[in-house]
Amino acid sequence: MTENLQILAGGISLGCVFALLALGFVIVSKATGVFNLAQGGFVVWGAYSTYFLHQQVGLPFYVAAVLSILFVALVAAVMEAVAVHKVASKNLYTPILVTFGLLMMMPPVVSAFWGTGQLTIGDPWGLKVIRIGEVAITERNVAVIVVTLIVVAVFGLFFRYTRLGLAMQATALDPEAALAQGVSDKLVHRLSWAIAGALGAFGGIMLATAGGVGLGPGLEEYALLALPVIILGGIESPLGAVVGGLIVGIIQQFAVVYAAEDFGVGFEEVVPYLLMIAVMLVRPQGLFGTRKVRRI
Amino acid sequence: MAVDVSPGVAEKNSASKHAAPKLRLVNSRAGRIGVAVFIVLIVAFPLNFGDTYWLGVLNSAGIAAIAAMGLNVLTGYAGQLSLGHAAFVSIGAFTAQYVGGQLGLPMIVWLPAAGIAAAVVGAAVAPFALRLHGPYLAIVSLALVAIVVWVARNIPSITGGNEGTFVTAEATLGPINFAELSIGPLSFVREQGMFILIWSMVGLFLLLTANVMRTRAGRAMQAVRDHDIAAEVLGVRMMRTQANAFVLSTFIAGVAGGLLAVNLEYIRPDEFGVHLSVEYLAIIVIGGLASLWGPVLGALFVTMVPVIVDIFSDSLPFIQHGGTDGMSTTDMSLLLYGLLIVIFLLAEPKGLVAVIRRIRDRVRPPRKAAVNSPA
Repeated sequence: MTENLQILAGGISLGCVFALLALGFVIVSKATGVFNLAQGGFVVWGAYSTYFLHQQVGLPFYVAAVLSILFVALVAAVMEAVAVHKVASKNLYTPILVTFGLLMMMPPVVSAFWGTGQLTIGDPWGLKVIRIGEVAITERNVAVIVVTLIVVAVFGLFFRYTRLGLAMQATALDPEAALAQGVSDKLVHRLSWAIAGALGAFGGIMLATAGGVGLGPGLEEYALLALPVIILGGIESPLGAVVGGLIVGIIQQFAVVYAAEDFGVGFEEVVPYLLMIAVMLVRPQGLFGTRKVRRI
Repeated sequence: MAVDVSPGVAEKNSASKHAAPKLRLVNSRAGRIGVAVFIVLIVAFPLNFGDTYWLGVLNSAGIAAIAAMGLNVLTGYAGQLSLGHAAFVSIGAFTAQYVGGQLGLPMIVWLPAAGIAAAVVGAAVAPFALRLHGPYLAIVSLALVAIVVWVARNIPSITGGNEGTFVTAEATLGPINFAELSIGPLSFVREQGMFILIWSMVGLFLLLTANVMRTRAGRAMQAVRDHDIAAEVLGVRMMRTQANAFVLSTFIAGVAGGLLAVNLEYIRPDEFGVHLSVEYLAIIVIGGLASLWGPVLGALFVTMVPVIVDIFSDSLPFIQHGGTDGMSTTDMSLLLYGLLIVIFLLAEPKGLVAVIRRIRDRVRPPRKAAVNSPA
């Protein structure tokens, strides 16, 4: 029982990282209609720039983290302006392919500067452990869970109560009508990319600090694991991203512990995908998605 | 089979120029000459060109071209974005080794078997995949790659598990062994024979796709891509059309996988990951989506990228020279693929094919002007 609770706690923390990454996808998809695969690149750049600022420049961890989040947000907005905006409303697959191209370019740039070895950001949390009853939770996991809750709450408030948040929703709902009401689609698109960049960077930092998966090549693949999450939750549903993230995180964590032997090597890597396919067979629009009505 | 309009009539009746193309394997004299030249080149070129390194590069390019032609059917002509092509290539590769190597059957059996095995999986996946649109299909196909790699790692009796397997299937057609080709007293190196085999297959699949796309089924695919609802209203059956595209695409991928296996002589499940799908996608985008020669041009171009990076690796900045500093050649190639994909999509979405056409038009103005001039 205790052991299961322990795994559950780990799963929730992993799920929170997935949820944040998925939220980045959802926001861009909701506001601009673009399916942004470059998210994985933001993860990598966020993690490595934190490494640079914290370990090489010597800034305190939290300052380094905030600066790199801002930096990646800026990079994301610039990418939108330079490469994506022009093709955003073209056909379906041109924007996907463009963001895919961007995704491919980002990790090699990092290895040009920091090589392909395993690095470490260090251990800003200390491997301290909080005990709740018999369950021990690392401080990193607590930090991840708390920050995720805050971020999700801030987003909820931002979208509901601020002018900009409402403008973003309006653009998502009906771009032309929003434009006619004086909402700048450029601003909204760039802002949504910046938010996605910030979320990706944050996810990357969480993944790369101690207790995560470490800082090295292949970090972008964790962002790909957020793809089943958004399919599970519905591509345009922020709530779906969070719930889907938690489901995938928890199930994957249990699969790591229990299913390793019986289902063959590397089963935990395909669990999210199998889960996604099972859901898609029943509900192609995802758990919280709305079925698109298509008119001629 | 097809109604053949004699050339004289076609010349007089200008409307017939816009009618449905005639259903023939090659539909013009220039085309027939082109095919003859292609055949001669495929045999003559490798026999007079002994540089095994460059022949090897061209062989990889040929195989990539075939696989990309398969993806072009699905993504270019039928408009379904797939990131899962590597999965079908992988199925073809391991089937080829199983049928040709373990069962010891000849190439006339294992090469089609590789295609059919991939097509069977493709047909099984198609009904699920076709319920999905746009990004959903892209992600599900990505899942397929992960699942096929996982399955392949866990059936060591066929795939050799994680470590992979040597390929013992033989590239023989009757008395001809392409791996140890000899004509009379002359004997040739492996790369020369494989070149003839691979590029003949490229030619065969070029003819196949060109002709399929002229048929009703092929035009239906393009109609569904351009406007699915309009096509359906006009009586195109969407499900069947897209399933056709899926099966044809995966069959071609499977055959490419079979050829890849014999060419590499050693295959591992991990080699058929997402990066391979990416390479095929880069090929068709750079070469030109929904064009016949796009995959071939794209494959030649994309295969050259790592080769050129290798050649210039001493003078390029940031490249690894032993150790873990800087990026590997693979990284550099990935960076360039990504850059090229973005540049082509923004600047020339029709790819290299359109670039070449424009250059040709500048050098030799199109003949259309002469035909339309009042006479």
